[in-house]
Amino acid sequence: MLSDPSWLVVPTEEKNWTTRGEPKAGWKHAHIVAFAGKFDWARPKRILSSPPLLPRTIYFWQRGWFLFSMLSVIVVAVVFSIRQGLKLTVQTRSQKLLERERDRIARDIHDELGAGLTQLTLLGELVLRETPPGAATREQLDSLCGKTRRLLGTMDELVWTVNSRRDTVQDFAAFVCEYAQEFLSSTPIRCRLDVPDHLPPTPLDLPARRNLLLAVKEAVRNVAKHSGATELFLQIRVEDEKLVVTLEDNGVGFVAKTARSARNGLRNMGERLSDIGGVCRIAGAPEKGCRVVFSLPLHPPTLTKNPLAAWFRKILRRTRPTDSAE
Amino acid sequence: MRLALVEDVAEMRESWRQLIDGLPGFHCVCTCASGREALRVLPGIMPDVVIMDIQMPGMTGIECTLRLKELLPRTPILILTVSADTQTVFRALEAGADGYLLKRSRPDQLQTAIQDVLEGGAPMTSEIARRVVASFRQRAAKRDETAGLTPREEEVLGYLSKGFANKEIALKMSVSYETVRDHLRNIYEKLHVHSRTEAVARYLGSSSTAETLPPADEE
Repeated sequence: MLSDPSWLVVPTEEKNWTTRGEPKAGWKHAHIVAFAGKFDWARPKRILSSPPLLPRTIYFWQRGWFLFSMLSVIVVAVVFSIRQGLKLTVQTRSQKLLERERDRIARDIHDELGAGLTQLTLLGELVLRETPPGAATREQLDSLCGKTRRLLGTMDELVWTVNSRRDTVQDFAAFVCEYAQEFLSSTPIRCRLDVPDHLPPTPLDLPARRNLLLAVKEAVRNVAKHSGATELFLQIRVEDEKLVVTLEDNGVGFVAKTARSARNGLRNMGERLSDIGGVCRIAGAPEKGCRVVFSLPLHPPTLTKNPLAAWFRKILRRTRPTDSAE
Repeated sequence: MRLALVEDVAEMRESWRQLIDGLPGFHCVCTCASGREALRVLPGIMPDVVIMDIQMPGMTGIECTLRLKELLPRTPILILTVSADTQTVFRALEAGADGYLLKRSRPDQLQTAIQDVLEGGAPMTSEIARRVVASFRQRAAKRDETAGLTPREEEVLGYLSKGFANKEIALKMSVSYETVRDHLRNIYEKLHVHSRTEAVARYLGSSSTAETLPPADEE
């Protein structure tokens, strides 16, 4: 066999042999057995043994099924989130539409019904004036006017309850104070209000608004009817993320035999509060007056289960039209 | 007392006119069917009190109040409203109204309201008083207001927001009922002066000052 003596074998441990100018002594000559293309590779000269081939360890996360399942999980997750996002958009949009329709209906009630009832009241007053004093019809006409007035008051309340632009704790406090003052103005009971200047703009949802208002109305009515008090203190506070409405009077307090209607009223108040997740506490002693405390946990707008919904809600609130002239 | 009425619904206009005429000492000398008509006609009539419906098509009661105060600054305006929405009522007061009355009030309440407004200002409900205080405080925070509320006036507003009536306030502050009424009148005047610019910007859609109000009749 041909052997080119200029080829030498570099031992494996030799380092940096590529930078050397001359081979080291002791390097063995290389045996060149063939040139490519000329050697008969079918009949090997010598077979060297090689260590047995071990199967390469393929970890499970490199396996095909795993990769496929991960990919499908990711795809499903992405599709799911997109769908949820779309559903949320649709939901909030329909909610906004519903709110707008509700406002429109409330406005129609206010305009049409309000105007009509007012006209009835006016006409009633005019006829009443024409009626000679002492006539039997006078009393009936007076009663008629009183009824239409009460209807207008009720309508006012319904419109307020439904109005989505008056849905904050602040608005609730304003309405309740006005109601209490007006209701008690025709009684010998003086209304004393204790409301902070700045209540948080936390929204109260419709059921909460309605139930709490009705409970407060019930309490005020009770005081007017049964307490014999001269003063009613109405206090509204927000503490520990709870809306607390306190009504305290200086009347006769609890009597051993409280009238059934009063007891029913008390039970109603308790039910109204528990319906909206709140608590009604009544305390009182004979001759020491009575105190009714309504306590309702508020849900601040940021603390919702779905942070995406909270973000959406914030955006919607910012783009809601500000109060108009009317 | 000569009264003028501004109300768009014809039947109500007629009913109110009859009601007012029936009150002793009052005579309804003029009725207007719209804000524009009021601005055209009332300066010539010079009534003692103007009773204005807050909700009218075209020019709203608030806008008409704003413009009418320009033309007749000494004439008190009583706003009529169907609902006692505090926000709306307060805006009307800011625009220049001297009091408000629910349309469902009884005739004797109407009479009292007109008299109150003639004397300088209707009694404020607790919510209105609270808003007045907040409005002045807000303005004081923004820039140095020379004509803010005096301590006595703030005291009156404080009692009002707690639910005291004028007579009770007089007792509490050891002054006469008339003094409390005078304070109230000053409060209304200051409120009108303060809120005018903002009200003009809000309702007339421009940032013009009170002196350069655009003409009402654009036809």
